Amino acid sequence: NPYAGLVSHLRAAWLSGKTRPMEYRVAQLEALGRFLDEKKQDILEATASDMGKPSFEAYFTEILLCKNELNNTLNNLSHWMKDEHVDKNLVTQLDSAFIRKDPYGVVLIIAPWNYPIHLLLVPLIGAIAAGNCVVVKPSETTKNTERLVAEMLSCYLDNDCFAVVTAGVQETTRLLENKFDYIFFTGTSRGPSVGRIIMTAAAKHLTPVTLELGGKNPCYVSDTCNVQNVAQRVAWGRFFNAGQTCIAPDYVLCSVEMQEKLMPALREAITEFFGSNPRESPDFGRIVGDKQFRRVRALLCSGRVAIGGQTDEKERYIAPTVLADVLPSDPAMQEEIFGPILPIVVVANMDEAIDFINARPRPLAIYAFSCDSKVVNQVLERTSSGGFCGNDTLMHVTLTSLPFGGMGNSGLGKYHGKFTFDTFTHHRGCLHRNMGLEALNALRYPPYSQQKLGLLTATFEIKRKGMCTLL
Amino acid sequence: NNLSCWMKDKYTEKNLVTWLDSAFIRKDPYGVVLIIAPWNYPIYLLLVPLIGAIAAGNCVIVKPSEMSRNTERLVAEVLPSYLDKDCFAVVTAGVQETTRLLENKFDYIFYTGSTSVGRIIMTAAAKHLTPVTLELGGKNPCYVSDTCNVQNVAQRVAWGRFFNAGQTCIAPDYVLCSAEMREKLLPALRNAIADFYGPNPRESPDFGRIVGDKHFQRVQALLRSGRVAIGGEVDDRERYIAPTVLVDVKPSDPVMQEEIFGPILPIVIVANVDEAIDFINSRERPLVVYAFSSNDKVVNQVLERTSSGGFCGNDTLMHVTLTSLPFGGMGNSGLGMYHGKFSFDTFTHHRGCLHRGMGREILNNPRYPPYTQKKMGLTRAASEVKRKSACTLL
Repeated sequence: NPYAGLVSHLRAAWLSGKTRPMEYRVAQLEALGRFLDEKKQDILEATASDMGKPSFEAYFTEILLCKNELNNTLNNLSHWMKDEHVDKNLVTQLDSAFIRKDPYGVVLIIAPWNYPIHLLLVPLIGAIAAGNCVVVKPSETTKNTERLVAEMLSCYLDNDCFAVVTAGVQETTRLLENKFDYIFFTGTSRGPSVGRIIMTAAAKHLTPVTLELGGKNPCYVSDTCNVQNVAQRVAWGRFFNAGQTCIAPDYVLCSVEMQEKLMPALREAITEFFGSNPRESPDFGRIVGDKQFRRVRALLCSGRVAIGGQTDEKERYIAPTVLADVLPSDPAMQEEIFGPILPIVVVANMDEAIDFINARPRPLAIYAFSCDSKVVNQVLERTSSGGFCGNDTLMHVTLTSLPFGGMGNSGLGKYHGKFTFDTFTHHRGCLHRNMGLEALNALRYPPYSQQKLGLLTATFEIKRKGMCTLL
Repeated sequence: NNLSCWMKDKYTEKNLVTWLDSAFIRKDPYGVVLIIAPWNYPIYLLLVPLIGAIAAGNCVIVKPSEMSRNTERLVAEVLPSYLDKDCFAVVTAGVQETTRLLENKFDYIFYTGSTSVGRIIMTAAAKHLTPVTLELGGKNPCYVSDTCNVQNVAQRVAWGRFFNAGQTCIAPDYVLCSAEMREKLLPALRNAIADFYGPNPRESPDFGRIVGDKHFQRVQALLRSGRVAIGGEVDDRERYIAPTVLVDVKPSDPVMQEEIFGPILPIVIVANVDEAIDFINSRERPLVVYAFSSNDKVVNQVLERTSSGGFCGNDTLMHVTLTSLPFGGMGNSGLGMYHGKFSFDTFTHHRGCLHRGMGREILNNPRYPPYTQKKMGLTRAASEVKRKSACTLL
């Protein structure tokens, strides 16, 4: 077991209690803040080298959003850490009843390549805030970012309690043989198979997990909408990071009339964003690797290319593309696209759109566009998904007050903001009673009697409240 | 009393960009969920999760334990007449059939039972990426410090240990104390047992029996550990095991190798609280840790320096009677939590929702390409979260 030494080293640090005091956690989190400030340029360069990430996008997702999470956590940590005192009943009225926020111990975070700093740091912030020791494994697909994290992150954090492991598929399998107290996995391989492997490995040790996976996020566009705005918002969500976003709108569902209106609006939005030749725009990314490029390119033979469709293998460039007349059986509808291709699937009406969505695995996000709030609410009400956004894409995950996570094949668990702290915290129910006052306990002891039961019932019973309440 | 409040959309804080939007957490049911109940509290451990599952809006399959046959029959025959059969079903199944049942895809699985079966359940759930709550077990340590009211401690520990003839997942499994305390505890425990059950507990109507022959034999075998100080009598026809206290127990003895789940209380000697804490921490995380001391600092030390599902100072079992406290395990003792609102939340998917306006596109312009420094400045200003300074004018 090549990682046994590392894990037991961290476990010894955990047992020493080093990560428990608030001051320690704050110091580590502030160090992460310095990492983001001092290594900002390195991060922008590494992500640009790895996948042509435009610096605006990299700054926004890898630096700004991370700093927001960091500051939100630092602003609230002492409050989150406190014992939460709870309601008591008659019997326990004189006792102390509270929820203690305990760390899990030694946790593992596995990050993907599409937002390689963000999807590593945001869970890490929560894990540290919650008082854990952490092993992080950055993605081996984005080599420059992996090296940056491995070489630089460890200079900022306490090496007794935090470690970076670089590992490919084989080594990760060996890593997972070790017992961790929590495993947080974000993965973007199409299909949930890697998520299943992680959860199966976790099951051997009964390790709780959060799995942030993926799926095909449907985007319903009703007939009553501002077509120009819809086109801009959908194009932005689809083509950001060249489509390599787990919450990107994966395909559009709309009527044939709306498809006719949407097409020129999308064409216009793409031109406004990236110019007449997106390949020359500094603001449009590239596919992360050759294997992924070929996979996405193969999806182009679905329906008919209405916008874009150009590719360049050397650059791993795929133009912002919209496919029309796509059938459910087409390649683009068989897997999460994770590239800059937007298929449009025609449905007769909202009911058909809802049935289409519900016949498929639960996605990470559902999008619905309509000027009519009732339509948006109908789609929300009658579908299931990780999250939901009406009349925009991606934006729901920029609010740290909303939980972010999947359902079914798109994942389990949730995080962002306080939810990350809670994810890595064991909520321990605690009761601290008095050593005396034994008379209060006499009722529960044998020998049992009807009288005792009557008295016990009276002290323990919770009654149903009447419907009429005097306010 | 609380369902309408729990079900409501929970509105959340917004930032500058989303100020005019609607941001809320929608409480969505998972869908079709499975609840597997054990035999020790067969109605309670089936109904309490079921209450939460129904409250959260799910369809439910419940599988009562096949070990407690009469209760299984009662649930299978009577419960469906009270619930809507379109949405709720009772399945009676042994090990084989349960394995087949688990081949199906459920949207949530709630299991109460043993650690080893817990692994099997989670592995089966992993095939469908089904979220799970596992309420398992372990050896719940009970530290008794030298400063305490020995009579009260003896009563509270004996009550927790012998309730349901010891077949309670949160029962105090073994005592850790000094040799001096053990000398005081033994007569006090003897008194308590006599007060509770009389001189011959076998004749008391208030003391239970072991659920089945296999379990009886398992628990009986644990008696060959240390030395019997109190009790030790058995009757295999009745599946009776007397309220028993064992002393001179070593960590290597049979009774310290597995969760006892019977009316036997081993006492293990430790020098002091530090040794007790080390003993606890070198073992699997239990469902609950108990600590008895008149000195609050001692109780707090044990709480602070150990990990467990739950904790109770100066009593046993009582922490789970408060619906306001989450109940669940850690590590081998389980994952997830329930009781009260926590049951509702367990069976609820907390769906983050944002509902924006169709217009006001100007607010979105800074985020669109072509990217510029100016746009970055505006985007940053609109979405930045700043670190609050330490000095605040209150």
